Amino acid sequence: MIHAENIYFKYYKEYVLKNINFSVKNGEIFGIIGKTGSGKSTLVNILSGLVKPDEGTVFIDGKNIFNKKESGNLLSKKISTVFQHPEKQLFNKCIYDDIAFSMKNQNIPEDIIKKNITEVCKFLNISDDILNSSPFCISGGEKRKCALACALVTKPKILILDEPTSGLDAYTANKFLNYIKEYHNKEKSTIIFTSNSVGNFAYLCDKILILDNGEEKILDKPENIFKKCKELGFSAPNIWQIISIINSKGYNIPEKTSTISEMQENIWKLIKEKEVENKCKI
Amino acid sequence: MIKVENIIKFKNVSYQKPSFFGVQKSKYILKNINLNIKKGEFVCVMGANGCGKSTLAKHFNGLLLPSQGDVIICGKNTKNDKDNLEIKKNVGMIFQNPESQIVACTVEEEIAFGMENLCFSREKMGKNIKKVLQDVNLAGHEKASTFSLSCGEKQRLAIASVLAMQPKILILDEPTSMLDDKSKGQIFDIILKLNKEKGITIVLITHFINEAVYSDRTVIMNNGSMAAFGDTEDIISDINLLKNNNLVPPESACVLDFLKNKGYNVDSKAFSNESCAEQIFKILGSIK
Repeated sequence: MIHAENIYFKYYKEYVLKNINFSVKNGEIFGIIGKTGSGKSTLVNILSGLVKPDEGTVFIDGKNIFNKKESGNLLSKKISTVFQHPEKQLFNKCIYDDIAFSMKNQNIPEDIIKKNITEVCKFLNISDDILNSSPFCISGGEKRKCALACALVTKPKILILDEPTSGLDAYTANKFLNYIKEYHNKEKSTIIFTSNSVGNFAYLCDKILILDNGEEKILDKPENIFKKCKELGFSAPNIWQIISIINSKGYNIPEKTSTISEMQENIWKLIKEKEVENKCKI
Repeated sequence: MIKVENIIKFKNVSYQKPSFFGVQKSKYILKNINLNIKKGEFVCVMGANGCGKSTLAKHFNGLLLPSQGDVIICGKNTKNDKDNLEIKKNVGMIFQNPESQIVACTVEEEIAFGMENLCFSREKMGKNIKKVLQDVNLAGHEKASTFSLSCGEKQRLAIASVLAMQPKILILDEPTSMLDDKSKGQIFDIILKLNKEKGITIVLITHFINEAVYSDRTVIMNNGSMAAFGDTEDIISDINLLKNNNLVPPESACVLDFLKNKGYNVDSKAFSNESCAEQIFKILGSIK
């Protein structure tokens, strides 16, 4: 379990995080959503143990991550982070070396490293061509996929993703989402992600924290967040918007509908029900 | 009929990546691109990650030169060294990551940087700085350090710096990928205003279909080649074309296409969520 307690953080004299408290249970997907400048990335840096808060702390399974005795083991073996700009975490001569980097540091034998990399590349659909490329020679989306590969290859218990789909096209973003979903199902790990919009990722979450100007605004389930999107200044996911327009006229499409095929199925059901209803009237 | 000048012309443009310390094999990133964009047009370039969109963008102002073929901007070839300044003056670029184009320490200096290089007068610079900062909602931040800005603010600053130089053509390479919904809307209001009121030619590189709907024409790229170029409405409503090129059609278009395949008469160009719901109500209302 991750428990953030009473976190305050300031740059110069200005507080960017004020009194942040939340708990994430093992295996949960937790979303941190806020506008640009709301303190999301700072919070991610604190949760991954890179930045120490001015006040408060973070506990993982009851252990303080800023306690020097615990932090090394806790942070390197349990948490993997994919940062907002993946190019900042790719620094080797070729992508293969980048993905192997953390395992080499943990003294994992070469044949296991090779096996793990083959496995993760198959999972994320990374070609040999890209593995042999320099990080300077691949596109933004590919870099992000490689940064994710670096994080997933060690099978972390906690995966932190800072704006994982920013800069990705919708197709790759959906694929990325599916990778995360699949990884979560397989490894049952805890996933924390940040986003500046209430997009498709929000459907996956068990809980969402809305950050506003460094403060906790709402901590709630995704369905409840979608309802309040307008007043919070976000747009709700398109599927949810279409469904809520239809339901506002007295129809009853389940609010949990989250994919296009589910939506098509539900609308088809609605049409068929209406047909049966009208036939009965006649 | 008035003949509108093609302000941007790509003639059989191909681009081959140079080898990188022998690590990277050289391969073609752009393959035989032919593109004509008229003055005042708003063109959108769409394609999956890695299809060559950003490489294409860098060809508009000569940051990259084609390995084969020619790029003609305002009648001038980007390959001619002597026209280089003229082309760069006319074409403003905004990149995916604002951090890659911010060079100065304060917001004011950053915006002045481009103008100083183009020898704008001091008064004009002062006036422009105020105006563009208002346009991007950063008024009052003149003296702020560029390092203290958040990512979204940095992107808005990058846009302001380019706008200050009053370019004829604006190339925006995924300008909203790091912005929140509210700022995205603000940026689009500015882009549309520049296009409609000032007649600036806009080339927008994006993967968001809800951003492409604002454009007149859309280019679809796939693996370095142009897969389609046509009216935005036609392209976005062609679900198969989008899917074949690894793009995700809008949710509303998928629902309408599904209903059309079931034999209902729907307007497949009703992209907005409201008009899509309207089409569904029409079907429900027509059931007897």
